[in-house]
Amino acid sequence: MDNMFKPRIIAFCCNWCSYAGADLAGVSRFQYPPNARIIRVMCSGRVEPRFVFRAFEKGADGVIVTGCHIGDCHYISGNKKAEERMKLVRYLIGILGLEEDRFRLEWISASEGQKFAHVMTAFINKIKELGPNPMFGKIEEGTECQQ
Amino acid sequence: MTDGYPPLILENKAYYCVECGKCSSICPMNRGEHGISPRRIVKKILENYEIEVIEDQWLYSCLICGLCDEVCPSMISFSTLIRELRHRALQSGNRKLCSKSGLLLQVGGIMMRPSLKQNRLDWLPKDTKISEKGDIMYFVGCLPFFDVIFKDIDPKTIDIAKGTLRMLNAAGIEPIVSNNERCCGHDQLWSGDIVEFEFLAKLNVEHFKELGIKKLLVSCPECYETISKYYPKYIGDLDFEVIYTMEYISELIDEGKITMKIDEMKVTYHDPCSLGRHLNIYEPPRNVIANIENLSFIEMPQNKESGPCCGVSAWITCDRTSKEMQINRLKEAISTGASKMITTCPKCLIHFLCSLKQRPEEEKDTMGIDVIDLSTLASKALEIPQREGQ
Repeated sequence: MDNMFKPRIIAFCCNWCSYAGADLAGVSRFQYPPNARIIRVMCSGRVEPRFVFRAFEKGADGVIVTGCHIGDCHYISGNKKAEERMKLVRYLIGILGLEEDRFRLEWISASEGQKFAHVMTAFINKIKELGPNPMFGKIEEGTECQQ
Repeated sequence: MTDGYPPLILENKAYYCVECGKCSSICPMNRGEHGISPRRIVKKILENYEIEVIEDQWLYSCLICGLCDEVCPSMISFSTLIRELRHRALQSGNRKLCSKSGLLLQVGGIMMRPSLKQNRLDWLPKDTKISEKGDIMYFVGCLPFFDVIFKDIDPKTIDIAKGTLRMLNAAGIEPIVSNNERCCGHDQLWSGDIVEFEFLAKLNVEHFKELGIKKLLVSCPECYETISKYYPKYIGDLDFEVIYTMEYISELIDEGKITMKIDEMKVTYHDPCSLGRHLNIYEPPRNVIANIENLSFIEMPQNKESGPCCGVSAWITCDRTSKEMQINRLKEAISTGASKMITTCPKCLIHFLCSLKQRPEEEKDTMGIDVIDLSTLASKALEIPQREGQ
């Protein structure tokens, strides 16, 4: 059964560094498992805690947020904001009873295609160890807030 | 005679509206930029313009503070009307605007999953005594979550739970504290999401039944209101008693089981809407304050039934008007000469502290007041007699 498990990973990549890093991993043909769905955001600071929980709620087995290295942010301090926010996410994930390893924050620059492939492989392997998202079960669909 | 009225009006007996306009003149949101008017809402529904009300985004700016209910000569419950309208609005696609982009409501939504195994008791201090089984349970509510989500404001909401448990322990009561309780559903109910509310309520009640409790102690006024008033209404009668902790502690004080003493200071008390106007509980918290030695209590000019709301309800709208209301209330508290403003609702606490934190530096001297929860303060006052006893 374990071999059948194909984790669903949501990766939030910032437009200026990590998305380009992912691109570089692609054009350089570095191999990494195909489980990650990449969502491009303009900055890692754009990722609200709600986005991460929404992903888990919708059945993601793991969520990874990537951004520029500290000091390299295109918007000067967006990734610092992301760091603060993601601390909150990690605490909340703990209280809600999910494994904290299901969530990861990484800094990947545009030139680090190799690192992107490495991080993804390691993260996906970790999620494979942890198994499916325990929170995901069929329930009545709740209504959402207006964004 | 009443046949021709729309069902919403019939259910809430809003046809008794005499158009006196008291509700609109007292509404705090009407004074702000919103111009929300309970009377206009009733009038519009009466004339079959319900759809216009439902599609209006300002429907969500109502604070459900209950001031309009209080002054209405025809006893119309506008808050019930607003709840029903929001339920319809949600069905028709008019969605609420949430603060923190809806994270707080989402946490409640996540707790709807029956398979969820929470890990919410990490905050329990080692010296606190709780039991696995028994008749009495303490419902903590969202306090651990607020503590994490509002870390930047640092409201120390978890101290409310710690304080309550310390006081109960001091009186020799060791309640159950469950790892598996869910959000009470208050915010879901008042934002019109009745499906989600009922789901959470059922999960909670099933859990309480499994534990076989007879008394449920609740320290959060909103949780208390929801469980005691709206659970029976929506999912049937409860087979346990719901007790507000301050009422319980007030009784314990009268029995002489708890004594409290603290350094001399002047305090004032802010009534949370859900405890005050919604449930008419004014005296128990005041009784607890009166029984803390050395505390001199000064009432604010606007108190009890006329006390204003803290400006935000169910995490839906927070804007300039809310901030203005909070600052006005804080200034009122400062004008009494008190050094601390006590409240019993963790949400009021968060909103006031948020407002205080946002004040510019040059105003810091004039805004010198501390907002604190009654349980936290009372448990601090408890320290001395407890040590003497040991």
